[in-house]
Amino acid sequence: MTSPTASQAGEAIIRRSGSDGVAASPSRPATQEVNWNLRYDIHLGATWSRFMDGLRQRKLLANSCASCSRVFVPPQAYCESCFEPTAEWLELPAEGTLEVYTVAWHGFTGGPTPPYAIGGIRLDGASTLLMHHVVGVDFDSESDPKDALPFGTRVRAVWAEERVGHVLDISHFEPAS
Amino acid sequence: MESTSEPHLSVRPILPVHVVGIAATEFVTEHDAMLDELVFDVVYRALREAGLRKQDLGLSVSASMDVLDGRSISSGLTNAASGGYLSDAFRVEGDAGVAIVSAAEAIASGDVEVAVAVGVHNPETTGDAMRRGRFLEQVSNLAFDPHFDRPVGLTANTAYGLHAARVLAVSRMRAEGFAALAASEISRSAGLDRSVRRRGATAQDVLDSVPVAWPLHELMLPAHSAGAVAVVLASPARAGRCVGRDAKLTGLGHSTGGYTWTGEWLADPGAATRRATRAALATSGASARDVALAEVSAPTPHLHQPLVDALGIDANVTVNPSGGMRSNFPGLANGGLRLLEVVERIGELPSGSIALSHSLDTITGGVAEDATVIAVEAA
Repeated sequence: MTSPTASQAGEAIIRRSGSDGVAASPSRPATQEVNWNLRYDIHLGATWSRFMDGLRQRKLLANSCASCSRVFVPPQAYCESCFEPTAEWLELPAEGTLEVYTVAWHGFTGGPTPPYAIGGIRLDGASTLLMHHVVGVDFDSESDPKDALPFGTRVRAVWAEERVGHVLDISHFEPAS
Repeated sequence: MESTSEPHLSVRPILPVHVVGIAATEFVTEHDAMLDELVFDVVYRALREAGLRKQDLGLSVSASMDVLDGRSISSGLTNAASGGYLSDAFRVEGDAGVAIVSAAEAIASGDVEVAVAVGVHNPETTGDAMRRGRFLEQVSNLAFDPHFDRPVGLTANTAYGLHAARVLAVSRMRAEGFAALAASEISRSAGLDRSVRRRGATAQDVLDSVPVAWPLHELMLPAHSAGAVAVVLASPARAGRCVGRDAKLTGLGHSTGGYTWTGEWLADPGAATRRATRAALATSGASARDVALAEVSAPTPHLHQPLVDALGIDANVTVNPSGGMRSNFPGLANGGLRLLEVVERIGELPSGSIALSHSLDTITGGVAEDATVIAVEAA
C-alpha cells in the first residue's frame, strides 16, 4: 500500500531538495530517494503479436472494421467506434504521408536524446496515424522546421538492421524522395 | 480522423448539489509535506467552513495518481485524511473534476447527503523547475502505451506540440497571435493571489521563452504548481442547515477521448469536452445561451478556441478571469481549482445565468483525454 518500494530496504537516502551532497538548507524540503524498479513483460495479445511478427519480416500489417471499413495501423482487436471485432488483415506499403510532427527540445529520463522529431504518419491505405520518429527536420530553433520538411511530405519506413518484433524495428521515417 | 458516429446521450435533469465548503492549499512549486497532510488540511478546512464534521460525510472521493505519488495505491495514505476512515471512500486516478462529478452524482442519486471531493498534486520529486519538468515528462511517457507510443518518446508536451503544429498549418492565426493570447492570460492574472506566474508578459516574452516542443514555448504551457483542493458537497436539504458557500452544481458532464491512432485529438480536440458539455447542460436543463462565465482548461493557446467552441459559448461569455491554466495548473487538483475560481465569482453573475467549470486530465496531453464540465449556479 503506502510503503515506498525502496531500492534497498533500509538504504533510502535522505536528501534535501536539489542537494546531491550540498549542505541542507532548512527551507528546502526533506525527501528520501526511493526507486520503484519493476520489470514488466507486457502481453501483446494476438493482434499486436501478429503486427510485431510482421515488422520482423519488414511487413506493415493492418486490419479493418467490416462495419465502417476503417483500416487500422496499429491493428486493433476491435473497432472502438463501431464496437465490433475487426476482421480482414492486409499488408500496407511502407510509405505514407507525414501529416504533422513536432520537435522535442528537452528530454526526460529514459527517453530519446533531444532534440528529436515525432511525426504522425498516415500509411497509404490506413485510416489511422502511426506515431514515429522522423528525420530530415532542421533542428535550428530560430527557423520554421516546415521549411526543410513540410507537412504532407511523402515518407517511407527505414528498417532497423536487426529486427526483434518491436515498433523500433522501424528505425524511423524519412522523406521518400 | 473523426468518430464515425455521435454517441447517444442519455441523461435526465438532476436535483442540484450544493457546494457548502471549499478549501485550497497555497499553490507553490513544491510542498514540503506528505500527501495526507495536504489532503487533511483542505478537507478539514472545507468541512469547518460548512459547519460540518468528518462524521457527517457519506462519501469521500479523492483524485491523485500512484506514479506521481511514488506509492502503489497511494489512496491508502490519503483515504483517512479525506475523511474516509471507517467510511465510504474511493480514489480516481485522474483529474479532480472526475472526483467532484462522482461525489456530486452520489448526492444527486440520493445515496448520500454529504460528500467531499479532494484533488491532491505534489509530485514526489524535488529540485528546480527543469528537474521537476523532466520528472513529469517521464511520468507522462509512462502513461502512453508501452508498445507503440512510449518507445518513440511521446509525452504530454510533445502531444500538445503536435496539435499546435497542426493548428499553425491550417489556421489563419499565426504564432504571434497564439503568443498574444498566452500573454494576455498571464498578464491578466499576474496580480491575483492564486497565480503562480506573478509577472505580466508580452507576446514577445512568450515567443522568447524556452522552446519546449515546437511550436510551443514555456509560457504557452500550463503554469505547473503543487497543491490540494477540497470541495464539500451537500444535498439541498442538508445544505439548508449548513453555513458556507452559496453555489450549487446543476449539471454534470464527463467524457473520455480517443487514443493516438484515431487522430481525433489532432483534428477535433474538443470532442470529449463537447460531449461532456452536452451532458452537463442536459442535466442542468440550461442551454449554452445561459452561460455567463467559464473557466476553461486549455493547456495551450492553440487549444483555447477549439475548447471554447466545444463548450458552445459565445464571445459575450467571460472566459478565464483567473488566467486559466497559464496562471496556475495544480496538476490533478486542477478540476478543484477551476471550480473554486467559478464559485468565488458566481455571485457576480446576472440572475438566471450559469457558469461552466471545465477540466481535463493532461497526463497524456490531448490523447485519451478525460474531460469534465460542471454547470454552476448561485444558490
